[in-house]
Formats: sequence, C-alpha cells, structure tokens
Amino acid sequence: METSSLTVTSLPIEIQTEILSYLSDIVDQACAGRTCPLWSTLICERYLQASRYHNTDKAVTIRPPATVHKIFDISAGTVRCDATNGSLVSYQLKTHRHGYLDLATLVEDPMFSPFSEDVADCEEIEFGSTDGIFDNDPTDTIWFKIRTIKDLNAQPWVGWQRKSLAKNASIKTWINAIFEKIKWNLEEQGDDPQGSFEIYLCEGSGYRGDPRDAWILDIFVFILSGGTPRYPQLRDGWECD
Amino acid sequence: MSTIKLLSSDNAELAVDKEVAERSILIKNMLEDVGGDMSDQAIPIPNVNEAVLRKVIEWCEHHKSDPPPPADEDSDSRKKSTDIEEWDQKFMQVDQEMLFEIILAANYLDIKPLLDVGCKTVANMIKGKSPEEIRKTFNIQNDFTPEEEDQIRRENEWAEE
Repeated sequence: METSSLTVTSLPIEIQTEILSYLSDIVDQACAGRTCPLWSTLICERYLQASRYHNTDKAVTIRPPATVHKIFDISAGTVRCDATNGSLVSYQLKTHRHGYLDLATLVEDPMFSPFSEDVADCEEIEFGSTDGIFDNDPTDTIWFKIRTIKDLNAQPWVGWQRKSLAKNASIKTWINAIFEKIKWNLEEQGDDPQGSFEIYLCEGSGYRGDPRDAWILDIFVFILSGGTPRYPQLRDGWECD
Repeated sequence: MSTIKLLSSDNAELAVDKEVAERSILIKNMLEDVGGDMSDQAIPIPNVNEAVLRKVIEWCEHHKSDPPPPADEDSDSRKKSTDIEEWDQKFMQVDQEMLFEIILAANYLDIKPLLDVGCKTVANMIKGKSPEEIRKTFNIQNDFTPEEEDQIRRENEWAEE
C-alpha cells in the first residue's frame, strides 16, 4: 500500500507534462488522459499533440499519409461513435488491449498534422464518398476518400460526392461531416436518421496519388443499428478482428 | 582532484569530487560565481535530504564522464525513446517516493539527464496500462465529475462485453 504523501500528480506540472510526453503510443495517451482530470488537460498540450501524428520525415515512405492523426491508425484500434437524435454523442477508440476508451479530448485535435509541411503546402483538403465498399455490400458501408490537393487543377473524382474542409479542422469536425453523409444515406433508404446507431470508422489505406495531390487517405465507415445489428455477419467479422 | 562539500536539508555534510558535483548545472554555476573555491564551506542544498542527495551523487559519480547532452533539442519533433540503459534501470529500482524525490532533486539541481531517466521510468510504468491500472499503480484519486464518471462507467461496460 502506497502511503507516501509525494505522488506523481503532486509533482510540478511541467514534470508531469514531460513524463506524459514519453507516451508516443496513442492508446497509452488515451489511457493516461482518462486517469484523472489533470492528465486529461495535460494530454491536450500542444507539446504532446505533436506526438499524435506520425513523424512526417520518416514515415512518408513507409506508410503514407504520415500526417493523419494516429487515432486513424488501424494498429491502435477503431474509432466508434454513437448517434442519437440526429447528433453524435460519444467518440471512443475501440482498442485491442483495453476495450473502449473515451476520446472526448483527443477528437479536438486537428485531423491532419498542424506540424506537417505536406499539409501546410497543399491548397485544399477535400473528401469524397461512395456507397458500399464491396460489390455485395448494402449502403450501410461508406467509403470515404480524403486527399490533399497541391494544384487546384487536379483531376476531379468522377461520380464521387465531394466536399472540402479547412486544413486545421478537428477530428470532430471531420467525423461530423462524414456523419451528415450517413444521415443523408439513411434518409434515402427510408431509415430514421434521428435513431440510435453506432458508426465505426476505420482507416483503409493511404497512398500517394496524382502528382498534383499530396496524398490520398481511405476511410471505411460501417453503420450498425443500436441493439440489433442490421448486418450481423459484418459485425461478427468486425468483432473478431 | 578538488573536493567540495554539500549540505543536505537535514544538515548532513557530504564530500564530493568537484567534477562529480558539477553534473549539477546549479552547483556548477554556483561554483563559477564564487570563483571555484568552496573547499572550506559546505554548499547548502536546502530542498534535498541526505538519503536523496546520496542517491543523486551516486548517479553523478557513475555518469561523471558522460558527454554533455546535445543543446537546443527540438522538443516538438525529437523522437522520444523510453529506452533506459541497464545501470540506470537498476538505479531507479526504488520505491515511488524515492523515485519522485530523485526527479524533484534532479529538477532543482538542474541535472537534465537524470531528470530524463526519472521521467522515462515513470512513463514506462504508465505504458500498456488501462486507466484503472494507472490509478492503482500511482494511487491517483479518481476525481472526475459525476458526468465524466458516467462516461467511464460506459467505457467499462463496453470493455466487459
């Protein structure tokens, strides 16, 4: 039993920040941020924010795009959101190690690295979507493509609905933009967009596109109804991952 | 080799090689200010007790020949490794109170590499743990508001699925 009066949270704030700055793993950061309100605040420091993006110098050649927030790194987990009454009410990271972790603070981070030249240099970031990922899929799966455009004359995506967001838009803003498309889809299918359901966002892949694009990122979105999964087969496969 | 004396907060006088004591930037600057001659007078270290000061001196002794750390590191982009050399790992196998005392002393005495090792040691104790495991490890009070508590409960329900 620890009886000492000196504890980690009684250390000077700058030392606690320094300690947390050694947590380069996004899951470790999310866990530390859920430990107590103080750490929840410290984890938002700009000094720590930089580590939540892949190192732009090194990772580009290995796993582009290097500039996306690490919560979209599939090795960390999957982003899960709850929708009720037409709004997103929670943002969580489904992790392999610790189950679901709240992302309330981390979703305020910019989706794309504010420290990256790749992002700073591009003219625009836009995203488009198309329904169904696989041929036999219903429209409850949506495939989003995000790209940074260096040259505004870049080839438009044919047949994709497109929208652009600010370079510094937060993850929350991005997910809500994606959510608008989901609601629109549900309405088209005659489903209730105001109902309760879960959505899962999963990074598909990232790659270099046309030379006029900096890079392209795929995000797959799966929509599952609250209590009774509409597509049990899909859900089972998902849960087994 | 010249020796200097350090006076701990609990009034213990410890003799240390000047070269060893100068791992502390605070002491180094102090000695420079007085022209290097402190042979007859103990330097007071009011924030550090004897037990902690002895530990810090032990670390400085082992690391007295280390090259100085590179200056002007870019803290935003530098790769933060939590690798700790074997001797330092053993050195840091102390109870939590001593570990935090060493960190505070390293901060006060301005011994950056020792502060780094201390912070890395604590970071390694956090890594891989769930929020509840971190709270248990460090005896951290769960002082979230009722609304935040509710959120945590929901997380736990999900985790138990």
